[in-house]
Amino acid sequence: MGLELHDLSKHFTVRSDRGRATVRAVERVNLEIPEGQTVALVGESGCGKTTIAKLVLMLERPTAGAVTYDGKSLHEMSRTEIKDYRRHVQAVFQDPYASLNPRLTVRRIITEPILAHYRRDRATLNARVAELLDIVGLPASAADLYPHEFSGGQRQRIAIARALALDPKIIILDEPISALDVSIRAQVLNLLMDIQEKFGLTYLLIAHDLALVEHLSTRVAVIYLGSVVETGPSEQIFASPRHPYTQALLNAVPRPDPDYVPKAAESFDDTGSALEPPSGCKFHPRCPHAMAVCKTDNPPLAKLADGREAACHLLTGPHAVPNA
Amino acid sequence: MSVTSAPAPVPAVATSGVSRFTSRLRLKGAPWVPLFILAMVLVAAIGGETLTPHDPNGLNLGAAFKPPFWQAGGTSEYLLGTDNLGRDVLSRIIAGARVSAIVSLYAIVFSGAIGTMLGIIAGYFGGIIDTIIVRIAEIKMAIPGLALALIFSATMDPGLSTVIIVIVLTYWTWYARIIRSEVLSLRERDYVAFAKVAGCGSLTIFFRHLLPNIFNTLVVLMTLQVGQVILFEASLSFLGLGIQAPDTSWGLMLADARQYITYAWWGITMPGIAIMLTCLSSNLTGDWLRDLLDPKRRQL
Amino acid sequence: MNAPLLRVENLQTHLHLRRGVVKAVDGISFEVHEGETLGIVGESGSGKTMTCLSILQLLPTHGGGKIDGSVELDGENLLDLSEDEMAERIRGPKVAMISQDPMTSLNPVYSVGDQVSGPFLYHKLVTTVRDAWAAAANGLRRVRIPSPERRLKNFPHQFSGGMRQRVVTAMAIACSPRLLIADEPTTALDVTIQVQIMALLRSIQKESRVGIILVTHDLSIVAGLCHRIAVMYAGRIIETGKVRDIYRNPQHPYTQALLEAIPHLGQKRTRLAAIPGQPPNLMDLPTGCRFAPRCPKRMSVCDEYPSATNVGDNHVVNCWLAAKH
Repeated sequence: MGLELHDLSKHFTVRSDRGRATVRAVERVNLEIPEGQTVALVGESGCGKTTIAKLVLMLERPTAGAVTYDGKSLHEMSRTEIKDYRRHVQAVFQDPYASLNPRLTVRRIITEPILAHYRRDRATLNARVAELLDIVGLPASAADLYPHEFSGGQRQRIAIARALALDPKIIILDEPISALDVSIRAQVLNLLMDIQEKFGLTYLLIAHDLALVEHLSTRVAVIYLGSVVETGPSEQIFASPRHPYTQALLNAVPRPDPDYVPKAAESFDDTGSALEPPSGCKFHPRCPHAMAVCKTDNPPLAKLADGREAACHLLTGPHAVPNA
Repeated sequence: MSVTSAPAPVPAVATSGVSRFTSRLRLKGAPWVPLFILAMVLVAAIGGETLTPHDPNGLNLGAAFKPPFWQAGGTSEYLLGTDNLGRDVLSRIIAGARVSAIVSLYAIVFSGAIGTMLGIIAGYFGGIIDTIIVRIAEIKMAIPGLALALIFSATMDPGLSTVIIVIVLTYWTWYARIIRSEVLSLRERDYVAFAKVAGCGSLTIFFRHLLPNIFNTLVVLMTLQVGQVILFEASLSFLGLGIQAPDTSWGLMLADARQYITYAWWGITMPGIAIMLTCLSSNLTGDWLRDLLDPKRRQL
Repeated sequence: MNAPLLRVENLQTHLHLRRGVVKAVDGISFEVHEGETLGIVGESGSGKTMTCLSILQLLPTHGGGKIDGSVELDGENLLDLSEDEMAERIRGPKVAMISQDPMTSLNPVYSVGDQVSGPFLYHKLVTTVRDAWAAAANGLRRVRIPSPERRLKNFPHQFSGGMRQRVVTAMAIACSPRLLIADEPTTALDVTIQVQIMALLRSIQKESRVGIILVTHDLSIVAGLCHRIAVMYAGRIIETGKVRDIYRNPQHPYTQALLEAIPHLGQKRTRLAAIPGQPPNLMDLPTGCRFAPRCPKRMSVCDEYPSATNVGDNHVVNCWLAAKH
């Protein structure tokens, strides 16, 4: 059971020079987020991963398909069920400078989720705040200070404490460390790993830093222009990527090794636009292995022999090339 | 119970919101003269008749057109001179301050409240509600304030209440537009998104997240509006659409003294200076407050 | 060994604010040769961006900034020049800069043609506007933007992030500068675009022998482009050396910690060695080694600022640990 995405789609209508157009930000995404795992959504800017996070957090409504929790679709839930859902699913956002209300004390920031659901007396609240601050490695005296008195890394810890306040089961992490200084990132990363182990949390991680994703995640879904192109256990995907886009992504990641020069993709068009996606397989204009069928048919996400799933004519279906 | 090995050091100075605000007040170069002038207007408004050296409405034709005390023919009894009916200009200015203050207070509070509420609703909910409110505001803005005043005076008795109503109807759009765009940008902030994720209702989000962060802008808008309102009231009274005798207002003084400007310049100039100083002071104070409360300036 | 293109000696940039003096850059020295790329690596607050701005003398006007030391480009000390001389002779023809955010580097209300042709006209490399636009089209071609003549008429918002960075690069190399400063040029870009921009800079360097200073916080991208690296911390350079030496044999504990603190591809689910604490407050710096409060190998002698030690072929580090051996 748990959290699942079924044929999830989200389209936006925008006004462009030629009148109205539809941006297919998320297009028929199917994904399972098993309990206790860290599932990462990777892809470049504009691929739709942040939109998926917003759909899961009910900050947007799907155009088609559904997000289900314990079998029930989010948008068919009653108000009490939604409240339950919100207790179980929390979030940590990317920008530590924008995710905390500058006019509230840390204490009020952390207790906000609690007070949205329960009535508690002051003593219980204060005890809980002290407990949470301790878990994230901040002293209890931090509770009466304001966000601007803290550094970026400390603010992110406050955001994590806030996310833990309701004892959630699932936390959506939207680029949790990309806005932090390099020497601080490891601290926060270790904290996230520690609390996952300690509290048995499930993470849905949105990130573009592939090294971070490999480090933290157990399953990976690679997203291109709104659709999942490859998904599976992260060890498998990182060790031997099969989809050409995944391969291009991994090849482009630089490494701290002077003898390693990342390979540049030949085409100069940046990521295609979600406004006017190419016909057939959306990746075909940039794909070094594109075949005729790729221009006309969009490959479905299908299971491969080793258990992972990929959407590529090279790998599945009648046109598959063995040992591609 | 701590899971991590690296407790982060925390800033040593723990300050409360109030003490931070006042310490910042002391530090910045406050505009003392404008603040003093505004304080004087306030004192005059509260003190009213008890502070006036003479009865503002006391007719004394024998003492008409006395010039201010520094000019030949003036006396220290009438410091700023007298008008065509022998009434002491200084006393009338002090009495008129009350009208200015009352009109400002009511007008700002009501137009501010209505405009802010509508601005927040339009900005937060968006969609059709937003469109409706914005359209109403645009239609209203197409009607000049004075024309509105004319219409109202034709149907209602001119006087203090009419002036206040006209001002409220004219100025709410100003607040609504500015607050609406503030809310539009605040709405996208991560902490508002988080409040929704945490399960907070819309009302809680209004009061906890939107209103306090709009507060700064609101304070500045209100200070800037003081000057505008006083000028508007003066214009209305000047045209006969506002305050009527025997009440005193600076605008009315301007109207009465206009025809005598060539030989009794003080009758129109003194209230004019009062209006100018009050507007200027409120604008400068508003500027200072805006710089003071701007969070981006807190860094350096 | 030919003379360096750029020699910076004891550069100090102090910002005099009401609350105190921020020693953003506190005495750094380095060299860049023709056709060479120097990577300056550091976190926010290390002074790397201030260094770039100091070379170009583009400090923010209400910063109360004072620059000391010497910045010699082809033997001429830039700090002795007036603002007019800098604008006419140096910025553009001799030194150019690419910054981090391509969205704010380009003016949204002017076409790309207007903006890229600007430097040619201002520095009088051409005489007519038509020639300037032709030169601009060539510029776009050099940075591998397809159909350059057509795209000159477009506006910045009609380009994607990576394309915009290419446009900015075209503007920077318009007057064939001797030195190109790239301040975090790829931080805002996707990884597949990052690769292309890095490749572009490499090819430009090969063609024109321009010296490049690449400023970044990311130790991984430095590897592909730079020949030498200088690591900055709290306003000072603490280690310099060839890229290979820095990666294979980092001497300063901060450099070592940086390398261990970032997740690399191929590493999996182990605890990263986090660097405890925070970078120091630049208004209140310790007299000794500035990394000492956070250093796992700190000794008592670290209360005195470590002098430079040469540990290899032009591999210099400011650390008492290296001095001991």
